[in-house]
Amino acid sequence: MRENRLSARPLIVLQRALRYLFFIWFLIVTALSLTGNTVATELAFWGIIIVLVGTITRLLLTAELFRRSALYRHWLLSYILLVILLSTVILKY
Amino acid sequence: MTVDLLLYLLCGLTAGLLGGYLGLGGGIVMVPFLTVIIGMNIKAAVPISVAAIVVNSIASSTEYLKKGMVDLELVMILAIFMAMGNITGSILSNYVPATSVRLIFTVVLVYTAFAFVKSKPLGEQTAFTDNRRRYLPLCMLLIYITGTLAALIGIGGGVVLVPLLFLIIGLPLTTARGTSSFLVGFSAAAATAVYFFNDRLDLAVTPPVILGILLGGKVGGYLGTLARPLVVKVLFFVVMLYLAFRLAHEPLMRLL
Repeated sequence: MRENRLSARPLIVLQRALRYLFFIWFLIVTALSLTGNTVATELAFWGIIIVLVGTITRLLLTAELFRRSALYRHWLLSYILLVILLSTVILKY
Repeated sequence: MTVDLLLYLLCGLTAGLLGGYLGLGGGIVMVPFLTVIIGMNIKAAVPISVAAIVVNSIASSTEYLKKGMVDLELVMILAIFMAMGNITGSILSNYVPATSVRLIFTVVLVYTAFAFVKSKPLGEQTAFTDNRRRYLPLCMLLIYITGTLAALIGIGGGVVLVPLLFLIIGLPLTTARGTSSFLVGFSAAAATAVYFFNDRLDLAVTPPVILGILLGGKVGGYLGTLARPLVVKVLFFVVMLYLAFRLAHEPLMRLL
């Protein structure tokens, strides 16, 4: 197996924070839905936005880790992936 | 309303529990649960499943990252092809009828059931030589097809990705699972965005399913480490074949 040449520590911290954020956010939305509160749909909408922004942040951080490790080809690939994901959203909206 | 919400929560919980216990992403369990047990249309179930996969990828790949079991360099190359495949799949889903989607899913379930049963126990699994230079173009093509299929039927694609990374690229099985778990999050996010911005993502159902998969995934992953491989295999085989039968029964009856 090839050794990973970059430290994933910042990525682990980000993903952990996102996991807790998602859990708390969707717990609140589900609790509000159970009580029949209309704010739940609005919060669910923003919850999905947070999930998508979280994915973009994860990708940008991975790109930064590649840049720091001088893996410029992978750094470029990360941005190509980001462009593909964003252009999909823009074209479909 | 309350009963419905609890059912959706239970769906996510089951998908997370079984997915974590059996080492799968959850989509392969979630879509049949939503369609067969809750009775949701498969075209409504797919976007919910894809959104939950994004969250599950972020939650479950953290442990693999911690143990250095994610090949980040490979992820970036393959994620592009997976994302392009996902976009193709989500566009195709507008034109492919629900009956065909159910039948495609049935084939994937049967394949997964038999592939899982035939797989060797952990002790016998060996890492092959790193073949990425040799087989990367082939892998890119296969990943594109996997991405298309995954978005069409609402799974992350782990069931195809893991064997691909293990058998063709030659990653050790745990690294293949970790890499797949990390990778599916990006591609599923593209599909989620497409469904979300086309108002095809049910915002009443998605939150409890996501909450359930977060809870179930954690418990399932822990239970999976304690489980006996034979029990896991038998349980998986029975569940997959039952779901495949239930999914295919109605469309096949209509065709015959």
